[in-house]
Amino acid sequence: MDGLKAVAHDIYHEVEQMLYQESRLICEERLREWIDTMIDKDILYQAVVRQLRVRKDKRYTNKDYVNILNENFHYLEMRVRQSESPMQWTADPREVVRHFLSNLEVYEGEKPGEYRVFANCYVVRNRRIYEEMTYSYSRKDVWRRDAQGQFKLLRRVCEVDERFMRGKNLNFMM
Amino acid sequence: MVDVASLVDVKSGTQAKSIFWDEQIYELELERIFDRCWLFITHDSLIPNPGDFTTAIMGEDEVVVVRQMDGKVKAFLNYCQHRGTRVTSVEAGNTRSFTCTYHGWSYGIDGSLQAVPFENEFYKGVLDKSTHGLTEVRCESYMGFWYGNFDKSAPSLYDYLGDYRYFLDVWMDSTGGAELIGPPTRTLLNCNWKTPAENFVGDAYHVGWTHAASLSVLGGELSALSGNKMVPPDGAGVQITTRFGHGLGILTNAGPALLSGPVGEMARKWYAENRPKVAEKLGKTRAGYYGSHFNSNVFPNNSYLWGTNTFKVWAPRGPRSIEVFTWGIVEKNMPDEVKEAVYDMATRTFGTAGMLEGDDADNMESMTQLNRGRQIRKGRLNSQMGMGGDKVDEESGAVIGQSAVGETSYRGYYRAYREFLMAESWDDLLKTDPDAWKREFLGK
Amino acid sequence: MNKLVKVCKLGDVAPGEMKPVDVAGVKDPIAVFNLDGTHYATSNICTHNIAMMTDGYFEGDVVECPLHGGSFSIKTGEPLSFPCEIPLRTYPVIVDGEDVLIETEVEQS
Repeated sequence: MDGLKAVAHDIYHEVEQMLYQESRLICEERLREWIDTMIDKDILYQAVVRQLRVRKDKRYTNKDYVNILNENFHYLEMRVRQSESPMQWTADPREVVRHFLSNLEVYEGEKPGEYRVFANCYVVRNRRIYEEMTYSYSRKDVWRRDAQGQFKLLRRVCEVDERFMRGKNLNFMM
Repeated sequence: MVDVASLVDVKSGTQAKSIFWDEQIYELELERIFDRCWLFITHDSLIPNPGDFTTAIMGEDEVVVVRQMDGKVKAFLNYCQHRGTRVTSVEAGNTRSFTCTYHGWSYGIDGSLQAVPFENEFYKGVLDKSTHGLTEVRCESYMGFWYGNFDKSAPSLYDYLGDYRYFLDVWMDSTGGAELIGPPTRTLLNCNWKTPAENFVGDAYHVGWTHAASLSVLGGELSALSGNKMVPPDGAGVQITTRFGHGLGILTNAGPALLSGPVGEMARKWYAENRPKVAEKLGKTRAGYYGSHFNSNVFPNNSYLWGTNTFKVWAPRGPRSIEVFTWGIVEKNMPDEVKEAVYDMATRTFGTAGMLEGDDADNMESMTQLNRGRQIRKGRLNSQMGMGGDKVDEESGAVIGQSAVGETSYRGYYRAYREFLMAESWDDLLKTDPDAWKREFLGK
Repeated sequence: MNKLVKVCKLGDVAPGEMKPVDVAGVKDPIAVFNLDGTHYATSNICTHNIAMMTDGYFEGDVVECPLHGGSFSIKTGEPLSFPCEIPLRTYPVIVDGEDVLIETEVEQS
C-alpha cells in the first residue's frame, strides 16, 4: 500500500519497543537522556495544525497550516534546557505526560537503515491539582539506525486533530 | 446590583477582583465595550483577492469578512436570515456566495439574498428577498488592519485609535507597512479576557520572572532580564497610555528580542538599515522606537508584541474563559528569510507550543479562577507602579511614564474600561473635552 | 427565425475573461467568453437555479456558477459538476471583421 515496503517482524518489534521506551523517557522527565540517545543531530521535529477550508476550494492562496513546532536540534535542545531550569515554574510541581501509542506501522525508509514509522498518539497530561488535558494526533516519523545500531529520530511530523486546542498548549514532547 | 463606579479606582490605581469573575459585569462589558468598540477582524494580507474571506469573532458574535469584487471589504454576521444557522462553516476561502447548509438559501458576497430553493413553488410571492440579506457589520481599516464595530454612532477607527496612531505608525507605516502571517492558531485559556490584555498592554515587570527559564535559554536582547538579574537602566523604555485605553510599553533597542545567532543578526541588520529611513519619515523620537520591543493592546482585546512579532485576539467565552487567536506579524518589505526567521521565532515563543506562552497561562488562569472564593473575590488589585511619574507627552498627545517597567498603561486601560462601563452611549463618551481624561488620570 | 446578432467587438473581452451581454430582441442573457483568443457564447443563466454565470469563475474552458459551484463546459454547455444536470445552451460564434456575432432566434420588435 502507498508503495511502502513492510519490515520483517523482528524489526517491527524492535521499533515498537524503542517507541515505548521513548514515551517512557518523556513521561519520566528524562529529556536529557532522550535527546542524547534518541535524537539525531539532523532532526526536524514538527507539529502541524490545519485551518478549516471548503474541500474543493483551491482558489484561496494563503497557506492552510501552522507549524506549531518547527524545531531543529538546536531549538529542541533549547526546550530541553528550559525544562531543566530551576526557574521553569510551570514544570514545578511536576507534570505528567503519558503517551498512548497505537496503529503502529513500520516500513523501509528511503535509504538503507532508515525506517518510516506511522503511529496514532493519545496523550493524557496532568498538571497542577485540577488540570487534566488530552490530545490526539498522528505521528509520521523517520528513524535512522546509527553506526552503533541505536535508532535515532531524524524526522517527526505530528498532525494535531483538534483545531481549537482545548489542552491550551503543546508544551511537552509529542 | 453591581456598583460600577467602584470597580476601578483611577486615583489609587486599583481594580475590583470581581471584574474577572462576575456574570453581571461580563454582560455589561459585552453591551458597553464589545458592542461599542472597534474589534480586530482581519488583515488585507489574509484576503488579498476578490471573493477571499475569513471568519472572526467580535465579542461572542461570529462574523465573516469578505473582499468584494471591486476590492472593498464588507463584514456580516455569520448567520442565515431564515432559521439562523451559519452561512459558512470554514475559517477562510475564496467564494462567490455563501450557501446555508440547512435549507440552501444562498447569499452573494455582498450579503444580498440571491436564491431561495423553490421560492416560487413554496413561498408564492410572500418572501421579500430584498429585506433578507445578511446583517452587515460596519468595518474600517487602518494600514491594512481591519476592525469591525457594532455601533453606528462610534467614531471612525482613525479617531478611535487617536493619539495611539503615533506609536502604531512606527511599525505599521515606517518601512512600507506590516502584514499578518496566518492562519491563526486557536486555543483555550480558562481566564478572563482582560487578564492577558492587561498583561500585554503594560506588563514589562513579569518578563524577567515569569519567563525566567525560557529567557535564560533563548538568547537575544530580552535574555538579560532572566531571573530579574538586572534592573533595566534609566532611559531603557517607556510606558504609554491613550484616551480609549490603547497602550503600550517600549523597551528601547530590544528587537528582535529573542532571536540569537545568524538569524538574529539578519534581523538586527534589517532594523539598522531602516532606522535612518524611519527617522526621515517619522522623526528622531520614533526612529528610536523602531527596532525596539513593543508590548501593546488595542482596547479592548487585541494585543501584539513587536520585536517578538506575535499578534493576538483574546475572544471572550463567558467571564472565565477565552479563545486565543494568534498570528505572526512582520514588516511587508522584510526579506523573505528575515520574515521566516522572525515568524518561526514568534511561533516558538508565543504560538501554541510557545516557550513563553505556556509560562503566562498559569498566571492568567489562577488570577481568574481563584475568584471562585467569595473572600478572594472581595479583594482589589494593585497597579500603582510608577504613579506620580506620568506626564503628558506634547509630541504624541499620550500620557507617558518614563520607565521601562511600570504600570502606567494598566492604569490607562482600566481608566478607559471604567469610562466605557459608566457611559450610556458614544454620545455620552464624546461629550467631555478630549483632554479631560488626562486630568482625571493624572489627578489634576 | 435565426439571425446573426452582434454581442461585442473584438477586444471587448480579454483572453481569460468573460462578460455578460444583453442583446435587444434576444430573450436569453448571453455570456461571452474569450478562451485564448477564441470566443464562445452561452446562456448566462445557470440551469440549476437562477444565477448569472458571469458572476462566477471562468477557468480553463469551464465556467463555474457563483451560487452552488456547479460548472459547465463553455464549448459544449455540458454540465460538469454537481448540482448541474441540464446542459447550458451554447450559441455558434462568428467573427466578422471587428464584430463578434452569435447565431440565435430573434423576437420581432
